[in-house]
Amino acid sequence: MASEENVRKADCEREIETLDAVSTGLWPDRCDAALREHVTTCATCSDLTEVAAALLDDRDAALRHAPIPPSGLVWWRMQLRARSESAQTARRTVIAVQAAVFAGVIVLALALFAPGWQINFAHVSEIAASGLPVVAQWGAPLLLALAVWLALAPVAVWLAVTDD
Amino acid sequence: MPFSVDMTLSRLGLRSRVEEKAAAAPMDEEAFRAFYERTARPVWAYLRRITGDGQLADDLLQDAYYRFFRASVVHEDETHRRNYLYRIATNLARDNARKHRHGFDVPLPEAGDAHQLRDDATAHRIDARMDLGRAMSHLGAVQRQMLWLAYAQGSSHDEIAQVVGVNAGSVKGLLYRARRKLAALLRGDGLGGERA
Repeated sequence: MASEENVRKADCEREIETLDAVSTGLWPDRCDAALREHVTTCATCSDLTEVAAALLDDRDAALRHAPIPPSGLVWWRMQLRARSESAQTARRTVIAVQAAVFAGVIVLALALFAPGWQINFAHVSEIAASGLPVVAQWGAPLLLALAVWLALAPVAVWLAVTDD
Repeated sequence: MPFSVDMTLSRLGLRSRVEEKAAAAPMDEEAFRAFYERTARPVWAYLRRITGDGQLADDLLQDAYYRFFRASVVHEDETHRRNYLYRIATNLARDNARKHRHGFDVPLPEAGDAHQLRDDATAHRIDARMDLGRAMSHLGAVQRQMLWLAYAQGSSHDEIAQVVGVNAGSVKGLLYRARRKLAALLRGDGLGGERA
């Protein structure tokens, strides 16, 4: 609160006029003598001229020497980066699908061939009655279908996700 | 009264949505390049002064335009678009400072100035810029951002608040304190005898 009061006290009605003089390049030699006189006695405007003149001079120099790449090159790089990011997203999706499929295959293989698992399933009478006989009968074709899907799914996902 | 598509759209309240859709369309190459030509130098100057590192400013500049391009935000006008770009640049500089916790480097004189050092006036201006760099290094990041936007860019208090991410009502006070501190530093009150 006290600092807000200080700011209010430090307000100067000629602040905008002073800033205009600095930003238009009239300060200090070509501006009104009365304004120069005012700045010598006003702490706010004195700070303002010091800071604004330094920053504007620095900005002018930076604008002259800024090592800016051509807009065409920046555009081209942006397109490359966007494509690269899209490809990365697609790769991540493919890896996730592959991991899920691989996990599915492992589970299926265990269900079909691991004796312990079959014994466990045998205890679950409903599952054994409905699912396992089918799997046992169609195990080889089912595995072949899964292998084909494992190979094709990443390609399908890639085509679905990629922009171009 | 002749019938027109425009009138029908206005009557149905669809005009603004149609215009919005056009504005929301991704920037094409021509529009982007024109916007870049208008803004790249001032944005680079801003980044260099708030980070204190020219090379970092090069990197952040390209990153800022890329994020701006990918964001595909609807902009009311050129000022809104420009402020949005500055906000991205400010956030990138802030994130980078947080990540690397590097110090503020005082920029060296530009290559174009080197062969002119014999000229007293030029040498004096380069000294002044070095002094500004040193003085700015004693300020906080938000103070550097606000001072640059206010006095080098000529931004309004509302624009500064949007770009820096502070309350619009507090800009005046923060700016006053930052200005007072920088002025004192430039006069040599706080540079610890670095100035001649």
